[in-house]
This record gives sequence, structure tokens and C-alpha cells, in this order.
Amino acid sequence: MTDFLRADFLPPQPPPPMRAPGWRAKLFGDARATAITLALLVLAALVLPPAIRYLFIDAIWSAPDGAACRAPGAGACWAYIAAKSPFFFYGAYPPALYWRVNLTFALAAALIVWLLHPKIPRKGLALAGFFLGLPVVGFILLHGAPALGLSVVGTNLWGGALVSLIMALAGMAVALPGGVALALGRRSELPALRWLSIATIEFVRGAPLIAVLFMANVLLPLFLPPDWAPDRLLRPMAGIALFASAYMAEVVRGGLAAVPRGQGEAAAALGLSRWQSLKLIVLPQALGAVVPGIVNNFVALFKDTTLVAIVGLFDFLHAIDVARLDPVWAGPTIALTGYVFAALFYLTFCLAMSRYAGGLEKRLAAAKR
Amino acid sequence: MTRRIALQALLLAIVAALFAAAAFNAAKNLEARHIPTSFAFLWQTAGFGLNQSVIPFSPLDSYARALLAGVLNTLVVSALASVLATVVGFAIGFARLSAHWGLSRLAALYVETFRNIPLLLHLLFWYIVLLTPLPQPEQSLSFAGVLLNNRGLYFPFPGLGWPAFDPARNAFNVEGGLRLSPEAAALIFGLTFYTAAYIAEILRAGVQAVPRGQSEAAQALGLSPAQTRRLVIMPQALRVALPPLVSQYLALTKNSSLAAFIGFADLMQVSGTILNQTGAALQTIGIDMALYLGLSMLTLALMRRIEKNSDWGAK
Repeated sequence: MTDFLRADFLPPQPPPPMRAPGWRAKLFGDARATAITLALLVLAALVLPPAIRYLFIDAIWSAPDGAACRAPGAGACWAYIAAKSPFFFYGAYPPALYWRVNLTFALAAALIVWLLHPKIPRKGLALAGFFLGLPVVGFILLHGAPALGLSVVGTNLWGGALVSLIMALAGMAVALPGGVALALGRRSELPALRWLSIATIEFVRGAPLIAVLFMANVLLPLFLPPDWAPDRLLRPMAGIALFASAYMAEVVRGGLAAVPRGQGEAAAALGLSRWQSLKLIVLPQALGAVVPGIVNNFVALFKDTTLVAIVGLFDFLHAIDVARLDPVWAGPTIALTGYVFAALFYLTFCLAMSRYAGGLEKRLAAAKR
Repeated sequence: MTRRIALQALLLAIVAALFAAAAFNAAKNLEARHIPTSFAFLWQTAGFGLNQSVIPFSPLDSYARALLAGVLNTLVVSALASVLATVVGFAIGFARLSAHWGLSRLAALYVETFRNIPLLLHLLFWYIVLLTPLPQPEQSLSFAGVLLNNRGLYFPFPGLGWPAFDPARNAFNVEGGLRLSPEAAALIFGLTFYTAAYIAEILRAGVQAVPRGQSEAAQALGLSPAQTRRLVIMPQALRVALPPLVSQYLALTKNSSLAAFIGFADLMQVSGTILNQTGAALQTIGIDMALYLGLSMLTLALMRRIEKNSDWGAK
């Protein structure tokens, strides 16, 4: 009956080690870990030397044209990137007016740092600057205003990173308010408003972005009076803004659901109007809880701007993809060089945003505890 | 009460007025540009070929059949890429969870890199850099019965036999086997490795959502680490991971529309061609939207049934 019970006591075991295992124990602790480590080292030995040789040692750093890059054994053709970078970043924008583009994006960067850095006060002013001031100032600077002495640069000359960043910034500036409006509409007590919001959100989220871009590009001019003809940059921008708003609405909805009911009720009991309660009590908590989600949405939006090439815009990636056909530079290494450069560009922006979201997530989790 | 009704009536009136204005403008614009307004164009001869099709298709077939071939291509590519992305994603997810520092860091590096590069760049990379410099059919690379050359990837397939290059029978191409065009291969590879990064993170979140006590309890009961993983951790982790996994499959299906950029004949590319040839914008975009929306709704309904009927969804 009691066979399974131990009759004699085991000797006490030594206490577990206090220190975390060192790198040697981590990498070579047992046979399995050693085998994995060795496999990884072999992989690195196979992959890294050719990659480093291609990207740095055999790379062509400066050359007047593609002849040196076409030589057998040549690595990445960085000279091509250097020669083409005005086109990659500004498209066909007049070089004498690059300062207008630079100024616009410096302004945008300053406002974004102001918005996102936790230590800089007066976020309300930054919000107004980003969502109201920047679009107006940016348009005047980039497009030009003859009344202010700025010559007009047509959107057909815009291209490269300029278009990518404009699309992303405009998408962000519309998607956040649009997403909040759609999310509030979705939980409204008015059935007509609720169903309209749900229909918009689900319709857009069910379709691929390319279909939405096609729709904006082809159908928008059909639905407007013939003499309105929206600009070629504005049409895909509207598509991207609509698409991003629908996805943002779902993020904001999660935030709204996380605000306890009692918060709104307490605000009502204190005599706040519904609008005041929304503005002062509910929305700050709801949006604060989902800032990481919002930033991740911006990452997706930035990557999605590459799709505007389908309607014939020269965004950064499309500019790179077209430039490789230039007969002056065309060669076997040009495509890969361009793509590596594009990958670095997108990685830099997206990683910076993801890192910020990740750090914020940790801070929010710590604040909750 | 009356205020609420008045507000909603006003809202509906505005929406109706917008729709009416759009319809009025559309009617005027369509007439001015001589764009067809019926679906009759669907039965006209397409006049273009497809580089890959599940059903037999020739340029003499109708637009409707081209659309059908496009939908089937979308479905096949999405299904294949979903399966492969799940396999790769789970492998990377487990590597990420590994106790081995190097393996876990490598998996994290993969996830961070692949998630933060636009899918379009993945596709261009596979298509232009990896698949274009492939050899002619007579110098096909072969591995375990699979042949690879600039006409595509050839698999052995039941009923189609083993792929082989035989100059006596056909001096220009491989015969037999199942052919995947370079465009399809690039699309499947790109979708697989991009989506795998997301699936790896979903798996990791699922496993980490299982309380620590579960594995400690399993250990206390005498289960081996492998048994603990298979019988205790994974069933609970998969329950958490299923909904985001399904929305990843849906995203993959929608992302397969990027085929239009590399010239694979999926629904989007075929309907884009039809739109250019016929100008029937409203109809083709309407068909696209209906098909993609229908596909999402079908998948979501299916998932809800699985959740309801199987013990996966049990509380």
C-alpha cells in the first residue's frame, strides 16, 4: 500500500548557484548547446566572409560610370548609389530648391521628436503643429506659393524618399484623427452612425491596399465632377489615408475598450458634458494605453507606402527599381546594390519606430504595476 | 429622443446625397469617356495569355475565365505560402524561445530584419536577384528530383511524373512534373519568409502566455521536457495563437496581390490588365472587392466554427 512512499530521506542537495550562468555555460553548457553553437559558427563562417567581401572589400566606392562595376569579381556598386542619390531622395525636384524639401522634413522631424520625447512639455502645441500646421506649411514649401515668392514645383516632379515620406506623414496625420472618429462612431449609440462606421472599417480592412489604391486612382476621378480632376499625388494619398484610418480605428477601439466604464460615469457624475468627458477623461487614457499599437501601425503604413508605385508614383523603392535600368550604370551588381540600400533605408526608419514602441510598451507595463 | 432621430436622419441624408452626387458624376463621366457600364464585357475574348494557370487557359478564352484563373492562382499561392510560412515561422519561433543564447538572438535578428523591410522589397529581391540569373533549361540545377531553371521550378507530381530535360523529345524545355513559374516562386518565397517573421512572434506570444506554473506542475508530475512541451504547453499556446494566426493568413492572402508588381497572374494582376484593356473600372474593381471581402468573411466564419466545435476553443 505504501510501496511508493520513500522510507529513507535523501541527503540535502547543495543550494542552486546564485550567479547567472556565464557565457561559457550558455554556449557550451551541454552537448546540445555545444552542437548548436558549432552549427551557428559554421553558418557564420559560410555566410559572413562572402557578404563582407561583397559589401565592403570588393565594393566599388567611387566611379564615374558603371564600367568598373561591370568588371568580373566586382562587389556592391556604391558609386552608383552616390551618383543616383539625388534621384532616390528627391525625384526630379529642382536641385536648386532642395532646401525647401529639407526644411519641411526638418520641421516634421522636430515636431515628431517633440511629440514622442517624454521630457519635452506642451504636447498640445506639438499636436496642433503636427496635425494642422505641418500640412499647411509643408504644402506651401513643397508645392510653392507664388504670392510668397516661392516658385511652383508640380507634383509630377516629386519623387523618391520625398514621396515616400509625404505619403507616410499625410497618412499619419489623417489616420490618427480618422481612426479615432471611426472608432468612436463604431461604439456610438446612434445605429446609423455605428453601422456606417462598421461598414467603412470592415470594407477597407477586407480589401488589399492595392485594390484600395486602384479604387482611389481610377474611381475617385469618376465620382467627382469632370473639372475637379484631383492631383495624381492626392489620389493615392486619399487611398492610403482611408486604409490607415480603418486599421487605426481597430487599434483605438482596443484602447477605448480598456478604459473602465466607471471613468466615463464618474466624469458624468462630476457634471462634465459628454464632449468634455471624452476629451479630458476617456480619450487620453484610451490613446495612452495603445501608443505602441499606434506606432506599430505607423511602421506598417510606412512600409505600405511602397505600394503607391502601382499607380505610377516614383516613391523611394520604385525610384531605385527604375534606376537600375539606366544604361550608364546597368550591370549584374546594380540591382542587388540598390535593394541593399533600400533595405537599409526602410530598416532604419521602421526599426527606430519599433524600438520606440517596444520601449514605451515596457514603460506602460511598469506604470501599470 | 427626437434629437437622436434627427441627427441620424441628417447623417443618412448626407451620405445619401454624397452617393447620389457620385452616381450622377459617374454616369456623366462614364458616358463622356465611352466606358462600358454592363458586365457584358466579361464574355469577350481576353486576348492575353497567363504565365501560370491552374485551369487550362488560352488568349482566346473570355475575360471571365481569366478572372477565374486569377482567383484560383491567388488561392493556390496563398494556401502554399500559408503552409510554408507556418512551418518556417514555427521553426523560428521555437528558435527564438530556445534557451541557447546564440540561436535565440539569431531568430530575433531574423524577425526584426524581415518584419521591418517592406514586402515589395522582399518580392523584388527574390524575383530579380535570385531567380533571374538562373540557367537555361538544358543546364537545369537539379536536386532530389526537383529541377530549377529560368522557366521555373519543376516538382515531381503524381500523374505528371518526374520532371526531366530530354533534348530528344523537346530541345527547349523540361517535360513532366509540376511547374512553378519564377514569378510564382518569387511570390511564394517572399510571402513565406516575410509572414514567417510575424508567425514566429505570434507563436512566442502564445507560449509566453501559458503561465509558468503549468510547466512547473508538468515537471512535478514527472513529465519529460518534450512531453511537457507537447502535452501541456503547446495545446494552450496554440489556443492563444489561433486568432492572430488566422488574421496573419488573411493578411498573407491580401498581400499576395503584390503579385501585380512582379507579373504573376493573380486576381489583382489579371483584373488590372482587364481594366486597362476594357476601361470597365467600376465592374472590375467591384468584382475584386467582392472576391477579397468574400474570402476574408469565409475564412473568419470558418475560424469561428473551428473555435466553437473543437476543444481548442474550450474555456
